[in-house]
Amino acid sequence: MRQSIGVDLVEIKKARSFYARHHRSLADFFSASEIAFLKKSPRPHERLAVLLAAKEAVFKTLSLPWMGHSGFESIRLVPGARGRLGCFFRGRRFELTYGVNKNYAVAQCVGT
Amino acid sequence: MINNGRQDIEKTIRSIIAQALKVDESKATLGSSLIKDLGAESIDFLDIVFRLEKSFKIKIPKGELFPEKLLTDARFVKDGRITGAGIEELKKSSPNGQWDEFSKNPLVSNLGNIFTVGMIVDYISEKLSTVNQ
Repeated sequence: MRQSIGVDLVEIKKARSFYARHHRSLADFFSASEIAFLKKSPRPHERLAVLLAAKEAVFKTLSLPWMGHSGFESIRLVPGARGRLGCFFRGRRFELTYGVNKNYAVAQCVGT
Repeated sequence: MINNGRQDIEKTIRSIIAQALKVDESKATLGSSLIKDLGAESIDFLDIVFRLEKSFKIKIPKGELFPEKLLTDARFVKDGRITGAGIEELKKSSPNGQWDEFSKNPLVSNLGNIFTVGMIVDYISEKLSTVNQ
């Protein structure tokens, strides 16, 4: 079985500035559960970076370019226990892992 | 900011892009590719769209500025490549894109490289002319 992998990094500094400027517009491309995942954290901009990196990693797994707001919206991340994330896109399930340090959020997606 | 001429629109957009991407405004020329030349990432595209909406007091509907709907249409994408029909469709919506260059290797994954400052200027100019009519 052929597997593909996508990895993406988002700079925390960039996410902090984006969150400060546009946090009222997040519902344009994030679902209610994604926004809840983000707001549960004391540092929501870090979770924002994770969500963006995760969605971009899914695109990369499928060799798709960034597909605009609706592309981001069509990838549904499903927050689970202990900060885990599942992902559904085009009827398929993808495995996601992520990590955050003070400079970057990194997400890795594996698809079959 | 609604009744602008094309030059004012271009100036505003170049300034928005320069601020969003933290590059010198002189580098954000009409032919500059947002990804290849100016280093834009997906978070930057979102940032730019929101800044454009605020600055020009417009709403940019999903799928209008970036051709995301086209990518899910089987007539326009085959085996990871944009078809001839797809390229013609893209030319209609963004006549100033670097389509000749893109046509040499029309991989879907290369599509992001052709988003230029000029394409955004075209889109906003067209959008504002519709709003003002």
